[in-house]
Amino acid sequence: MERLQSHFQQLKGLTLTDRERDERKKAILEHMLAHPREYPRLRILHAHRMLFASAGAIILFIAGALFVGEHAIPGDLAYIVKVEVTEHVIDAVTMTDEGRMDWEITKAERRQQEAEQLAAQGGI
Amino acid sequence: MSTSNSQSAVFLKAYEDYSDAIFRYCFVRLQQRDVALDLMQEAFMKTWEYVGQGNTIQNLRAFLYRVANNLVIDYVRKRKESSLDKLMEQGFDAPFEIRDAVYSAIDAKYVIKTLEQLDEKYQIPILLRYVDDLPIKEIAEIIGESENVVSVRIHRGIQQIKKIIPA
Repeated sequence: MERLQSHFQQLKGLTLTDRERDERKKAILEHMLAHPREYPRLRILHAHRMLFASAGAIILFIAGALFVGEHAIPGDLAYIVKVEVTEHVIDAVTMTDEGRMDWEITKAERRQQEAEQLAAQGGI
Repeated sequence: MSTSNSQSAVFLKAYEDYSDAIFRYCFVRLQQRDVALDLMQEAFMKTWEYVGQGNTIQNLRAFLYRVANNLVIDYVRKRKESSLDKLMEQGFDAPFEIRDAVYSAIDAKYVIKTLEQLDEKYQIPILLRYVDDLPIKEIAEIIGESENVVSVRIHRGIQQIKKIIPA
């Protein structure tokens, strides 16, 4: 086996001459210049595909949670999102007095609708 | 250094590191120096084009071997190749560029002829393992087989060689 391995190692002597190496390198360099990278941005996106995929998944999850939350009533798990997240965000971004008044009226209407839905389901 | 410049630098470094191995891989399969040089060069060019299209390569060395392998297969399919023996019968002696010229040349030809007698599926794993010292995992990636299959082929190839070469 050792003799066999030493024979295989002889093949390591099969190499390019210096001239061959340089000539072929020159040809490859010319080819690289003639074929520059076409989509550097795409490559960056591709390289960070996991990051973008994760960000997209998170955004979809949040959007889905907000959508489900809007139709939730007390007792639903998503009701927490509706009241503690969505309505708090709207509270924070509503700047004008008129806007805040309209929003308070809307919230009161939402509480009334929730109560009616609960009553229809037999709960309060 | 911009991303583009660093990629070019990495690629040229890969040429310095792997051009001999890729050339040798092609030469052992085809035993025609000029063709092996051309295919080696083309392997690097095709790899650069692949990267230039926005693709990412995890293992550049393995990718180069795979491209070279496909180029060799395509070449063999396109043309009927003469064996080294036939070329020598016609008075052609393949120019081996080897440091210890005469003795090493004899041994290298002997090894190549030995490899030729193996089942084709054993030749490449043995070449990559015992000449290029590649790990089993990388050989598996190059030839597209599992590590178990590669290990079995190497083992069986060695068993065949032992029958060919007297102890």
